[in-house]
Amino acid sequence: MDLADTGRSVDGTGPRRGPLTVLRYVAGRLLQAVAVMFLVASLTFVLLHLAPGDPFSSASESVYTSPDVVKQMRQNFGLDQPIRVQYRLYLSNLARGNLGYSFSQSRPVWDAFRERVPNTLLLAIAALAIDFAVGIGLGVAQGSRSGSRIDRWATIATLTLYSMPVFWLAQVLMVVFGEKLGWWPTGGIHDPVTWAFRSPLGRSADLLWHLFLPALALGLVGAAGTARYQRAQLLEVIQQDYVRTARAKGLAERVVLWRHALRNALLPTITLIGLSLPALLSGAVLVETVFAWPGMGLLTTDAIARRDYPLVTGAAVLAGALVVLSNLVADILAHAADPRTRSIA
Amino acid sequence: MNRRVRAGLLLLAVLFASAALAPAISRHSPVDQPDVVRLQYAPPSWNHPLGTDFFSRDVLSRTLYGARISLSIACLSVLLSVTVGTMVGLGAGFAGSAVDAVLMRLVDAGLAIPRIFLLLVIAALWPRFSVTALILVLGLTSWFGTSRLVRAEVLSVRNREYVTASRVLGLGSSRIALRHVLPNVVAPILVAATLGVGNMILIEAGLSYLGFGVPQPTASLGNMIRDGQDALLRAPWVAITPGVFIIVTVLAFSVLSDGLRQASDPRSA
Repeated sequence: MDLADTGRSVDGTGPRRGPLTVLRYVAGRLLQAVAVMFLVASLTFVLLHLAPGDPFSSASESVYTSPDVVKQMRQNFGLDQPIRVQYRLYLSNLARGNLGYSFSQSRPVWDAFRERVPNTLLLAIAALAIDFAVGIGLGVAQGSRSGSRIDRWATIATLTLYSMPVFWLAQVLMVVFGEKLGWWPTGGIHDPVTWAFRSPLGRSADLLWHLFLPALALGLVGAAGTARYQRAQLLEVIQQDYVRTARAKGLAERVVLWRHALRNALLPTITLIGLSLPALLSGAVLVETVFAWPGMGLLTTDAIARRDYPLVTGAAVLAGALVVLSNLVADILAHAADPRTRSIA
Repeated sequence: MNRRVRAGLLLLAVLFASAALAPAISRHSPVDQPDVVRLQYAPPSWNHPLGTDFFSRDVLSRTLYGARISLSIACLSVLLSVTVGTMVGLGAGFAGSAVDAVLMRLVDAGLAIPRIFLLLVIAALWPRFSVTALILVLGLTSWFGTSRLVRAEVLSVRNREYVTASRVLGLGSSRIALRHVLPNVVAPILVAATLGVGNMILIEAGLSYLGFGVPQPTASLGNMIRDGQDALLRAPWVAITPGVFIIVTVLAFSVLSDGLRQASDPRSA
């Protein structure tokens, strides 16, 4: 969340620091996260009940299902209860980690997620690594020689990449490097034939080999934004007085850049990591579709075609929970790293 | 007007004009299938400057008519989201702590669910929505960021002298909000909205690419890419053309937004 918000929501965190104030900040922030999570769950519940009919509406119109069976099913899933009771049931189930029962998978939603979430997180983390390595590198390279020809070309390149639909880039990469050149696989998470015979090391290598193109597509689009942000940050810091002082002391430009300017220009970018998760998860849905990467996104889009409501809403709640959690961690880390955020009261 | 504003506006004028003048630029219909056997995936020619797709439909026509749909969806849904976001932001900024806290936690919740998952839930619950419904759905799921921006701006101008003066004069809260505070927060809203249109084009394209956006046979830039994905090697023009159109459009909106930011805040040059 933004700094203005953290300042308002937690009072009494004055300039005086100590373990107690940090603790109080964490507790307040935790409470806020729980409130947001409660609202995320309520929002999906409202959406579910705004929709016409219920999961068994199509079955009740069908001649093949007897009305008694449909009635029984509605009873089993508690859909005959008043909405207040359903809401309470939904929340208490969620609180216990019960996301409901998936129709299309014929098993609890959570069981389906447990298989798929690690794949999506793997893709997201690999993409994040590419995003920040390339983005920060390029942004710093541009910022330290702004106005040069390299800077101008890189600006055009990042702007183009920033405007590119991620699924389109994924497809072009897949066709060029997968189909045409055959350097990387065109889809899937591991080789269907050789996987069974591979050693653990061989399996990891195979996994990374399959991971490369999807992570590259997702990472490059993110890197464009990160580079633009990093460049702007560095340019702002370079204008500060203490950088001028460092130069005036006669320090080498390299030392000024790495020791003085970069330290302060990097912090805002690092805090972006926690905030980039929503975009990353959204992009992952699209990239997974292109590369048939068996993650949450592919699972969810498949479930829509089969009208599997519990799974789709479960995915939204879970994605929301991941984002709330990462924001929480990012805020607490930023709070710990930057003394200034602590003194905003 | 600075250079970026001019460049962005010029580029957008060309893009919007080409979409608006689609019938004059290309004489083929975007949905007609003249000869599915002999004209399938026909390469660019004099008759079809950008080739044809699987159903022998003219790619240039589909791109231009698809751009009409995609641009209208993006512009109208951003208009809706900016209106709602501004109202909520003004309300939260003015109403004081309790309402503000509730509204902002609601906004936090809205921002926490990655937008595509929110849209997928809606796509699962309401199968096949019309273009109008799509505009409503996209607009009503996108105002969270704007409202937070507006609220922050309101908080920063709320205690300025001119607002205090209007309060002393006995003006009501809503009048102060609309007449005295809103004009002063228009610039950041405009910058964010311009960027938002480009973003919305990408979101609509993604949703249509997944098959949950603009329904076939109506062309949109996103569902064209979906159409062309299986033949990227055989007939690259089918998916490359709408992709390039999207990139240029989103880029133009980014440049315009950058330029507007520079113009409204000289420090960020």
